[in-house]
Amino acid sequence: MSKIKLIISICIFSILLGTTSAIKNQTRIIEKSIYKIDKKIAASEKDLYEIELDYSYLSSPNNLSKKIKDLALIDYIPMDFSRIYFNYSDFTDSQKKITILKTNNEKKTKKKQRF
Amino acid sequence: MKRKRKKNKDFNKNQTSFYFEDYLETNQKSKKVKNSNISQDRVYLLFFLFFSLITIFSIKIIFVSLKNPEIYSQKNNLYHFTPLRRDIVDRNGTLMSRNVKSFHAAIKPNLIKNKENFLINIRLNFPDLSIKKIKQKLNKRKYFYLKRGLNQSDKEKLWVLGEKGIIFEPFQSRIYTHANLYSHILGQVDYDNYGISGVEKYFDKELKDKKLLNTPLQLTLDTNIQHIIDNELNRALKTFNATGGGALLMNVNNGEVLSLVSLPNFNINKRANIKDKNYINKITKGVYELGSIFKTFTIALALEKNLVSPETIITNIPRKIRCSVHEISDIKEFPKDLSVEEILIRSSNIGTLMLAQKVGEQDYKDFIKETNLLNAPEFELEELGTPLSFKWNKCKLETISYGHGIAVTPLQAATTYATLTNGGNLVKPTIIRKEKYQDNKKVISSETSEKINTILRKVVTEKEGTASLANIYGYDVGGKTGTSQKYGDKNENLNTFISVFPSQDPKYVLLVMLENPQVAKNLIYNYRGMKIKGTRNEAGWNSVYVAGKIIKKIGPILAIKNKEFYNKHVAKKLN
Repeated sequence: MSKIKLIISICIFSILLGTTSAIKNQTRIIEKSIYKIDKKIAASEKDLYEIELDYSYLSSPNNLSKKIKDLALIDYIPMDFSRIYFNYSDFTDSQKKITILKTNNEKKTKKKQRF
Repeated sequence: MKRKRKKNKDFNKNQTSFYFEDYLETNQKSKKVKNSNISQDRVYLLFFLFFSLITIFSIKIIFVSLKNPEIYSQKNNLYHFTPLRRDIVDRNGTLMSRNVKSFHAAIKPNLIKNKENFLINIRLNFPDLSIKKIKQKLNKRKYFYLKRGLNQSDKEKLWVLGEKGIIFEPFQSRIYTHANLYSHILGQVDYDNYGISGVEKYFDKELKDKKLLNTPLQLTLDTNIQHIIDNELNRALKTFNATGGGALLMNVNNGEVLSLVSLPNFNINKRANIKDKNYINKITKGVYELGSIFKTFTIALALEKNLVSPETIITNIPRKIRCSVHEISDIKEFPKDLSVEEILIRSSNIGTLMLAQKVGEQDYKDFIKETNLLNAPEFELEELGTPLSFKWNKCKLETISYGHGIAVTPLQAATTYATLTNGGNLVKPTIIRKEKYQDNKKVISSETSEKINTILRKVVTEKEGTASLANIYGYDVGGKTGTSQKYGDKNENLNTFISVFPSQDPKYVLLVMLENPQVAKNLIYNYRGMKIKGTRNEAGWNSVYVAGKIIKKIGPILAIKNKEFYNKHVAKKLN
């Protein structure tokens, strides 16, 4: 009886020994990979942090207007708000109105010319 | 025998047989049993130990998988950069200020082998540095800073020297991406990251709050609008040969400052000891006599007290009035009889003075007190000017009525205009974006406010008005000009224009101020459809012109961001 108990104990012991080392090893691997990934994230975060700053500087209105002056020969002028359309239908509506106005005007001038 | 039996407790009456046991054998057996018990205990102990280890590692695995990765980032702080101050962003989230890792160049004299060679190299690479001082410091053999706040090229130059004694000491420097644009607002920090001026100083505690490090401090300013105004104002300084200028754009309903420009400005990324007074924040720190701007306040008070209506005719307005030692007159000759609104449109000093006399000193004092015109303005900047105090002696009411003898900051003047035009609600200017703004008390009624808006619009549209150049199509601009001499120096003049738009239901107030502008002889104005050359030097011919240019450019931006503005006020040519 005691022999069986001993065998069982040794079996359990060896299983536990194996499992423990396996788990420990796995934990170490996971921790290592977390550490590596974390390092990468930290580096990327730092890059992003600095890139945001660079972007903010490069896209600042002052810098953009300087670049436009240096690179383009086009002299930009402020746009009248009435000429800015938020969508295509707004644009087509306004074009329709213009054509209607034009045709009406043409009709009127023709009538005047007849008289 | 009986006695013995009694004493023997283990004696069994029913025992019929007995055997002899070898003591030696029995002892060995008991020993074996004992040994096996010990080995079993050990197995149990080991079992327990391994079980505990497994439990510990299992818990750790669960902990690792469930816990936020931040604990690891804190652990490996070497790789992680934690800024000491929060970012500052504008109303659209555009970055204005951020901390980055930077380096000071320090010297450990003990580690420098060839000092002469080192000094030659320093002289070649950094001609600005005093070699004499460096030599003295080297001889003292104490750790010292060669150059603080290195830029990339300086660092590379020093790195290339390959000198062991050069130590690159890390620190956090504050970068302002827009350099000059916000110099008078953001301020600066010292090398230890303590705010020393502007927003950086005023919100020093909040900017260093570790709990909020990932949340930027959002201001009400708009970088695009700020750039446009700064650009136009800079151009105006050249056109009118002015020594300085300032502009302020504010939301009349909640006091949000969208733009605050003061010229000349400076690059806040560079450390410089500026002592020239011309570099002060002219909008918040400068205290000026703003002239005719005050006439609007007088007329608003007269209307509020129901003493007059805009159409009331004030008869027999004299050309000159002698008040104590002062002789008060108008710049131009006006008709003898003027309506109240005409007094403001034409900017008549004497007409306004007569209205102030009707209002009375006490009511005027109360108005000034209510609008906080004579105390330092409440604003989130360190650089605030305190208006000059004075005694209400003879003629004070009369001179104050048209803006002389009272000096306030342009910020206060613009705030009072916002109050008068937004329906009469007192406004508190702010540069910090909030979700809710508190309701303030009423200073004047909505009816009076409406009347004032109508008159201010007429100042721009009427033929006799002084601000025709600001009549920008579609934006319904109203406003009042002010041409004055600088307090304490009669040779210097200050031209101001405070505009409100759209005047039917005002949304924004824009103040434009120019210091010592000259006649722009080469400038051709488009005045009421006519092309005319510049011959005059009043606010109507410079500050108003600049305000018009600014409104034309910022109008579409404001309109796009403001649906109500777009739907109601922006002109649609095709309809």
